[in-house]
Amino acid sequence: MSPTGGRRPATHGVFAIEDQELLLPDPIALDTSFVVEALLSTQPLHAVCDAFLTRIGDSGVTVVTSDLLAVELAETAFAIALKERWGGRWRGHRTDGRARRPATRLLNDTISRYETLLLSIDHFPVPLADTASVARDFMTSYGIASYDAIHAASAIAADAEAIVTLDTGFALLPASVLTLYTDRSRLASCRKSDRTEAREMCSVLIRS
Amino acid sequence: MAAAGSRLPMTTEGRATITNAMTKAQTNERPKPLSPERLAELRVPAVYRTPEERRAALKRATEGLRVKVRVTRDMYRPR
Repeated sequence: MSPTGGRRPATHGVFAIEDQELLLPDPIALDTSFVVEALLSTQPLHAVCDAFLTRIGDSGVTVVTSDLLAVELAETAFAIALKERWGGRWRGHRTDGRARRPATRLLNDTISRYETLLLSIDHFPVPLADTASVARDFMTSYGIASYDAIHAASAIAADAEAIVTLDTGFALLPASVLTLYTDRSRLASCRKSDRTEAREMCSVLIRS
Repeated sequence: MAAAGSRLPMTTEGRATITNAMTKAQTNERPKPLSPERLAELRVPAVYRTPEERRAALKRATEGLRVKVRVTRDMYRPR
């Protein structure tokens, strides 16, 4: 929110999901980082992401997800089980059979919740095959990491203007390609990137 | 099949086949989305239709899953 009488700071195509004035484009893409935070009530931004997800559900907009998201959720559940058992040394214990049973339980619970989420919202699940070529272009043109590139390409494939993410890596993409909806604490770091073509989108996405 | 060295016919149908409706002409230009027909194939309508049903389902999805560790990005995605 800009100070009274002051100039609104440049948004660079990055907006805070805590802002109640923020418009929801239809469709809107979801990144794994946002879904993890919304599903796990012990995560620090759970309340913020849960509230934004409720806004999405209430508004009736369609969400876009990559097929990669469910795989990353499964990986998250597996990693949680290992980390709960082994702490900081969890990476060296991937093949530990004793962690697999709790990992399977957590994985099933997480995926079941994700499926329930999707049952309550109109949705475009975008297969990897539909995004590979654009993802490669994003990697070579902007240096964005491969997984981020796939989520961004999925958003574009379904014509989503914005992606909801807590991952600052998406800020490598220009604002003309994709608008970022993130939490307030990440606004500054996302806006530091050279997202120079954001000004036009600002007027479209924020109610004056 | 087109002869070696020749171009495929650039009919609307042919173009859609070749590019799958996703092309990136130049830097900083937003690539084109999938075709409306493909998007219609992908679309999955919500099972829960009323606002009350949606809210209840979202609540079931997002409430009560507690873990003992903090999840960080490196647990699901390499940088």
